[in-house]
Amino acid sequence: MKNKILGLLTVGIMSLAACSSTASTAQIFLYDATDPFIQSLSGDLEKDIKGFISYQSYDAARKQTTQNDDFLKAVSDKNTKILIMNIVDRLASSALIEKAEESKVPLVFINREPLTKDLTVDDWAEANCYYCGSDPKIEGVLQAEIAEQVLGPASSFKGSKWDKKGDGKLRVAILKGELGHQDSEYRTEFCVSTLRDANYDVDIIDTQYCNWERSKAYDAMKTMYDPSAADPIELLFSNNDEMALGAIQYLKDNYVNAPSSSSSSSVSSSSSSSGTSPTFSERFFPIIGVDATADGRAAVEDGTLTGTVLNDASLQATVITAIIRHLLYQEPMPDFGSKVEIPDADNPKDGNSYKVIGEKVTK
Amino acid sequence: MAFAIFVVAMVLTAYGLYSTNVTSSTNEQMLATSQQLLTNYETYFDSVLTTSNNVIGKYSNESDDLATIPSDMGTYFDTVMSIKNEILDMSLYTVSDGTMIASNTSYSEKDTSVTKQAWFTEAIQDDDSKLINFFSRPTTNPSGTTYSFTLSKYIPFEKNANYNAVLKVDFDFTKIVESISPSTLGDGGHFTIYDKTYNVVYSSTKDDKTTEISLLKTFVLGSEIEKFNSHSYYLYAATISNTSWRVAISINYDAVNGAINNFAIIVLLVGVAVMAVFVLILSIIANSITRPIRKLQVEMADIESLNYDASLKPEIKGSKEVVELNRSFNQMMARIKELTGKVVDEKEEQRRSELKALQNQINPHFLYNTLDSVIACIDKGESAKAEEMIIALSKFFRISISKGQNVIPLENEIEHARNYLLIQKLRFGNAFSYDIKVEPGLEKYFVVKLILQPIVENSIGHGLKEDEEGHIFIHAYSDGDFLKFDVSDNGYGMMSSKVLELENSFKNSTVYQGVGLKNVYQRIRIYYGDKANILIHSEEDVGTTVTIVIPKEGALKHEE
Repeated sequence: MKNKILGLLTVGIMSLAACSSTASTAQIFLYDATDPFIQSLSGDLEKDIKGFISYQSYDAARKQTTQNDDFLKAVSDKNTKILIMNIVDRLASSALIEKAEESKVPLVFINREPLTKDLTVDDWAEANCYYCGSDPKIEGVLQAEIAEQVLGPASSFKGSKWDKKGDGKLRVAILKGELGHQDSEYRTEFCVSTLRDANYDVDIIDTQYCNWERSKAYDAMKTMYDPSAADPIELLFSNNDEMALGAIQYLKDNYVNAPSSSSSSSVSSSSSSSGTSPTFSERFFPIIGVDATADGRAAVEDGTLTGTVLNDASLQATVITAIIRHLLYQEPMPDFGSKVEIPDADNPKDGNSYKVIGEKVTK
Repeated sequence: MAFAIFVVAMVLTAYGLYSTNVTSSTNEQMLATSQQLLTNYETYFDSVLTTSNNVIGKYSNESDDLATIPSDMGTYFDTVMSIKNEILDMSLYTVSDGTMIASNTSYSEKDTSVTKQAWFTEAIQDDDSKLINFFSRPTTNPSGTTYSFTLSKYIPFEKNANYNAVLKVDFDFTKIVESISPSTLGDGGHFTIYDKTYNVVYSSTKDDKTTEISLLKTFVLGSEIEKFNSHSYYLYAATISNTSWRVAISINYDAVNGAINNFAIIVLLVGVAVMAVFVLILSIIANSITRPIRKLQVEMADIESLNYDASLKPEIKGSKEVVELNRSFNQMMARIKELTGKVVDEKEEQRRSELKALQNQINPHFLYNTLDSVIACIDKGESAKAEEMIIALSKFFRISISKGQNVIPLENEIEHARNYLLIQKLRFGNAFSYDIKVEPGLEKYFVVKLILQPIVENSIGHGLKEDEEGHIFIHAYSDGDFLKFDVSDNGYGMMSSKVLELENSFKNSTVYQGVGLKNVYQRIRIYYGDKANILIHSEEDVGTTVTIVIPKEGALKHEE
């Protein structure tokens, strides 16, 4: 009897041990699992890697402390073969790289880029730390190109239906993601500079940080949008679709579907020059986002979102998967064609960065 | 022994559980304290960044009428500082040449070489740097009272690239530290802020930080219990969000170790006391069970040595089982004693009858022969000789009968032999002479009667030479634990092979020769056991000596 119990115990322990020892694991750390873009990116990634490695996902809920705690547990687990970091605070990456180097577990940063000098802090980091995300500069350029398509050439802007004040200046409002986030800063910088380069007389009348969140943008619009303002918004750039959708929702709730239609009719009468009812963009202003999430595409379809730039989650997941296979099995990196910027092999100090190039999405 | 192991295991388990519980609950508590402190700092730096962001937002939305910027921003700085009193100064410089664009009103220091300052160069060093807030190391101002750090941030001015700027905000760090540091870090407890290359940015203690920093390098993040600067610490290392800085929080851990050690000592003492008490109780219980059993065991050992009287003591008290066992044992012993008694009685009875039967084998021929000789003497008119013979015969038979007793005083047995010799000598004339010698001091011994006479009869019958006078010598003496009776003659003697044959004939009951010797031998063996013996020593032409050997212990008292 005793032996039998012992035997069962042994079998149990052995099977437990077997369970926990066989599975080499990819640990995936998400900065915010409720973010729609992160959801589609991690969903695509999990689909791509589940065939060859088990994985576990952690949600930091935008707290670096939480992410650090999860990271410490994961990095000390001997089954952990690779760490996929969607880091909350890019400045924390130096500590995480240092810690990962102790256990010699390679790191792939995704979506949120660490400082290049942290990514290349030493030889180990140069060989084992990768980044894959989008190219925010090009996304900014593409946002500006969408604006140009809608607004027409700068030369004919003055007096057009889009020049609400009629002085030829293009009054731009910007919904920014996070301060210091490279996607946020570069998208903003390049969408503005591209328009200027195209000879638009750009006047940035308002900039609001909304932390990538729809609800914050909704709230921000309360102060940003005034239909009777002396300097009306003539173009709205949003660093992502979520914030753009927040702004659209605010306009819908307060002007399109408002019980009293007096204010909306005044706007419509002032902006409409033709007999047909104006489009959403004509009635308010063109709104251009980034990401082309499912909601964003739907909004483009129904005409409320003027355009967006595809931040290709699926292609990024493919690249990340290739990086994982490269780090784990020494497989060579495949050729992704013109859609992906690859690291400069001659300049290791630039870091192993793979950046997916966006694509304009309009109706 | 097993019990001691059990108690030791119990003590160890208690100690292990306690120290695990205390450690884990303390560690949880210390982690919570650390995280609270970290949260305080992150909240603070968050507010610092909010200030920075607000300035950036404000500056981005400045009109491109450059003339209004200095006063507008200056007023804004004054407003911010009136709300946030930990800000010492705020100022704004062009990236291109470090010209001051704006500052708070009270800002006096007009640094002309800002482009060479670390806060300035770091903020615009590369693309990455332009995106982040740079925090310079706190410095002590000349008066030594204020500990401050500087935040700098590149701010692009979308409207006019010439007005791309660097923001500089000086914060009073002392106020911050005082307002958000808990006093619960314990003796020597402190926190240290350091950058990613492990240069100390700020520490709440002035103690040497070499050991602490080298420990931090080994585990980078998380918490460990470490000993340095003569204390044990719960050492917690974390990144501070939105800065490149990290913080190490050291909470005194001595008290925890002390508590665990105290508990260990108490548990050990209690354990030992409990063990002692248990051992005492256990030995009492064990004794009360085993003592009666041990008594029983002793009695059983007595039985092994065939002492059947040992038992039958009903006073053994103990558990019901033992009492019952003892009762059964006593019953068994009583039965065994009864049975063995019976066997002994029966054996005794058998012995007596055998002895009697053997003694009775001796007499008839001798009686007839002697009476014939007496008749012959009377016929020849030798009445004196006849009388002497009858007297001797009378004595002889008196001793032979001895009131029916088997065992008689040694001197009677000698007397018996002497009377026999006398009768024979009277019968056969002067064909032989005899001598009897008894060692003094043998008077107290008793012997089985009629053991000498058959030997003497043999000596006379077989041991005398026809042509010379024979001599019979009886010698009774003590030899160690034995009484010995030698009956010697000076006859032909025997060859040693004949001696062996003779000894075989009386010692081995299957061979049937020499009635006299065999008869005596059997009787002394019946009465005295294996120690009794008959030895024959013979030399050809010299004579034969037959020795009866009897153990003294069997000859000391005579049976009733």
